[in-house]
Amino acid sequence: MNEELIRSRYLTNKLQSVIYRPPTITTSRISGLLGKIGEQERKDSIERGKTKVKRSKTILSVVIACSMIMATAACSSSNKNDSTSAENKNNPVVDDNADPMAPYKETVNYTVVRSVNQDPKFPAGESYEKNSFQDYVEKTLNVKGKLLWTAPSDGDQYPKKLSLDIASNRIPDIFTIEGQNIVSMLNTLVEGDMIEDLTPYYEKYASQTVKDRYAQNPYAFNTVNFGGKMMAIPYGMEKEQPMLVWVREDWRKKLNLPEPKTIDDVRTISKAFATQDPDGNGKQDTLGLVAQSSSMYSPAFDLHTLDSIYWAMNAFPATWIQGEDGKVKYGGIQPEAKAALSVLRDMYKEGSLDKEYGLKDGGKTTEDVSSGRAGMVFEAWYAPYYPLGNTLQNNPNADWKAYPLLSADGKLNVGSNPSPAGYLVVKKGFKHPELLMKLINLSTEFKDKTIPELQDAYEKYEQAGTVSVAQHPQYVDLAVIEPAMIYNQQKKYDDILAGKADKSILLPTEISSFEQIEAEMKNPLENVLKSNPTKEALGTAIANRIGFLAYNNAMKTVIDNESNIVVTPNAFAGQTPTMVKSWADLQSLQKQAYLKIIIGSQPIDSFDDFVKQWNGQGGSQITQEVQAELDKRK
Amino acid sequence: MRLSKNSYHYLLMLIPGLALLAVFSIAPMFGIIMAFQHFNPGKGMWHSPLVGFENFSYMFHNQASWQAIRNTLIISISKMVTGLIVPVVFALFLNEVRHMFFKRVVQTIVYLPHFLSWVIIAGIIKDILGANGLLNVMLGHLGLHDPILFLGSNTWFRPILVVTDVWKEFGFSAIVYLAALTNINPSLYEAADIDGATRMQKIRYISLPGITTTVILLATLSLQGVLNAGFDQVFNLYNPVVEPTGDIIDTYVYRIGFEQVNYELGTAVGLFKSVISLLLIATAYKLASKFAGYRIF
Repeated sequence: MNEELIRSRYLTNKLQSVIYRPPTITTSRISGLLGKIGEQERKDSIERGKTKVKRSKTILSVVIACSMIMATAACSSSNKNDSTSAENKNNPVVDDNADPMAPYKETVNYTVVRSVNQDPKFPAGESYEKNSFQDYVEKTLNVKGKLLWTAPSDGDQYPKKLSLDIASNRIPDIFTIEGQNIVSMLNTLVEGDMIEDLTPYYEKYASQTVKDRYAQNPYAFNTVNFGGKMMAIPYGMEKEQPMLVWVREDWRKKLNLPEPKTIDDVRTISKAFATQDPDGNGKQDTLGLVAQSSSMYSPAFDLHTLDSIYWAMNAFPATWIQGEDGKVKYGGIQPEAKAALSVLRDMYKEGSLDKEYGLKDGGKTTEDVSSGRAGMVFEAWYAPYYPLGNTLQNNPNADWKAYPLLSADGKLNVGSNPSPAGYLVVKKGFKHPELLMKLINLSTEFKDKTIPELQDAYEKYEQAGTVSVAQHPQYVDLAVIEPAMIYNQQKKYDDILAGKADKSILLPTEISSFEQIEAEMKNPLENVLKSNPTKEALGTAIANRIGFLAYNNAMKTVIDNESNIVVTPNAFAGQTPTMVKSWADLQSLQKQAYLKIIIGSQPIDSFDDFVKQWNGQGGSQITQEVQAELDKRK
Repeated sequence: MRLSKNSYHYLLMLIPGLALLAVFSIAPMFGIIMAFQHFNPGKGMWHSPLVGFENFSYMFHNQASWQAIRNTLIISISKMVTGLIVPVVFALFLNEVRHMFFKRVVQTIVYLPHFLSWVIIAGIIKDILGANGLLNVMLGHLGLHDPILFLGSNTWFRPILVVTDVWKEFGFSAIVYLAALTNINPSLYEAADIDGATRMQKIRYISLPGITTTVILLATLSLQGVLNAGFDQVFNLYNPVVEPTGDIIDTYVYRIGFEQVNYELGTAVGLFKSVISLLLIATAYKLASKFAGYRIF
């Protein structure tokens, strides 16, 4: 059990380091962890949730007591706010002559909160509270950070804790917004006038690297633009990562099944996996395609959804689609969605979609995959890092392979432009909003490994066996990466392997994965297994296979299909007035209607009633509002 | 009430309790103003714009709130009724057991689940009721080929809530009845024996009437909890498929308040629940004082 825990942690960590988007990966995509551990954590989080409710009451009551006693004098905190913002106005906001990265003359204090990995492996003497990176930040800029609290990045504990801070208006100076409701949280903050306009600071203080990288994404600042003001810095904006179909290759070969090229192939394979005993133990204990229903379709690439099917049928259930004529429509109520649902419904009925689909969240599907019960999932290229690699850890003879699922007209659809995974914001009245930009510049350099003084630290962290969040445990951690980083990386690998280039083209950050690919190609896991390996040798071989699958199998598949990739951008990621009240209910309505159709408790034509209801309960009003917003932007 | 000179220190001892009450229960009550506002955390509770009953009217026009209210009532009333009958019957029968050791052991075993958290029990229940769980495997051996997804079925979800809740709590409630049963004058049973009464007759005519007051008292007092359908339990067993039958007021408030950052609507629904609960407490108190002579004031 314990070993399993460590392994799963390691993989989570590894994954985070690779795609470098810690909060999203952990919160929405990987909700829950391997097996019972995941279960326990979820429960812990619930327990903690409860204590938090109590805490909120305390905060609230203190705030109230405070305001009652002091009446007009108000609480000290709000008082401070006023005075600092007043000072702020007196000071020139942007000093044109200063070097953007020069240290402050007087030490600047700032408070932060952050989400953390629950089981990080730090080198001796390092921790989230005190570490080389934070020390470097504080020394270089002459600042002093204070970590007010941390919350696990798994599950939704961080956003809930933050939500309480927002409700009681006691937010830290600099913080990230993470989780499933980032848009409404950001709106609340903007509407409450609680955060700073960052426009001038971005212009003046963001490093050229950071600006260049953001400039590559035309949508980057769409969701943080409030009447021309940049109210937050978005993160996690890399190039689209198409969903791939992951198949237990060893099972597929054993049962002599075709490669999954079409949805029909997927159905055949899945059904065979579920019924023909692919693991050969004589028991009906295997599953075909598993998917979670707590997130059913997503604009944000959640783990193990059914997006591949929807997208292959040109349906985008969670996307605002803007046509060429400029007209916007909601993907969830379109006829394509109905067609996709009717396929899913048939799949559920014939047994090619897991019977427990309605009961499973990402933690549960992860358990199915890790334990080797499941034969098929939909996930992006990084799946081998988490959780498919767990299958290999438990059974080194298992084998996964990624396939693209194209639409009938040959497109590899992706249902959204990369929308932000989170936002960084600065509290209104904080004296040095530009500090955020400086911290982002430094984080980006940390990630690129361009700071010579920190080479020792990098090595120490690598030796400690962790990568991950703990690799850059400074308090404010947003490295802006090249949006096409992974694409470029794989293209270089392809070139080297094809003999068109040599290894000197690799960046320092790209070498280790390539070494894994090489090792796996030279001595594949199968051969290692035959040679009666030691535990360490086997561990290394599995790690190599995982790296190989992520890059040279999955990412290569994506590159090979790059010309087929069609992105249907989500035209609107903000919140209109009617959305504030009704959106949550409409989403729940949609989810319920879809679920009922898929599991067969309602006929397929109930979709039409759902569309009527959706429009009637505010949907058509919202569509008009979204249209108006988009027209305004033009 | 008159205070004698040397009883003032008792009042002093009240102060910490009152302070706790003031800080944790009374002060936060000002927060209910949020239910009448378009709450804006930046402006705080005192400066957010008032919107009157808008949040409430939204709540009452919203299908999901009605669904939550309906589910809450159905689930908690079923729980109350079953949770009343089972422990009484159990206590009556256990009381008839003459073997003291056996009686103690049984009593201990049945009240143990009371001390387990729902988090743990929900895990166990999920394992038992899953598609490959104990129950479905057994049904499979009995010739039922399609596993029943108990926790994903709108038919089964509520009964499961009721049964598991009663299973967890009946042992604990039974203790109260067992205590009441020991208070019955043994001479009544002796007299019945002389008259040749059977065991069932003794239960029917002596034990049961003997604990009626306690039963009525507990029944009326449980009325106040009619809007508490058990957040911990539902939250841990819940999944999107059973939202139509399983979403209760508390889970609904939790979702809109904390997950969807809609604090004012969450407060409004919570306030609505509190007001109804207050009415129910008042009613319960009146009934308790009328039927069981139970008084606080």
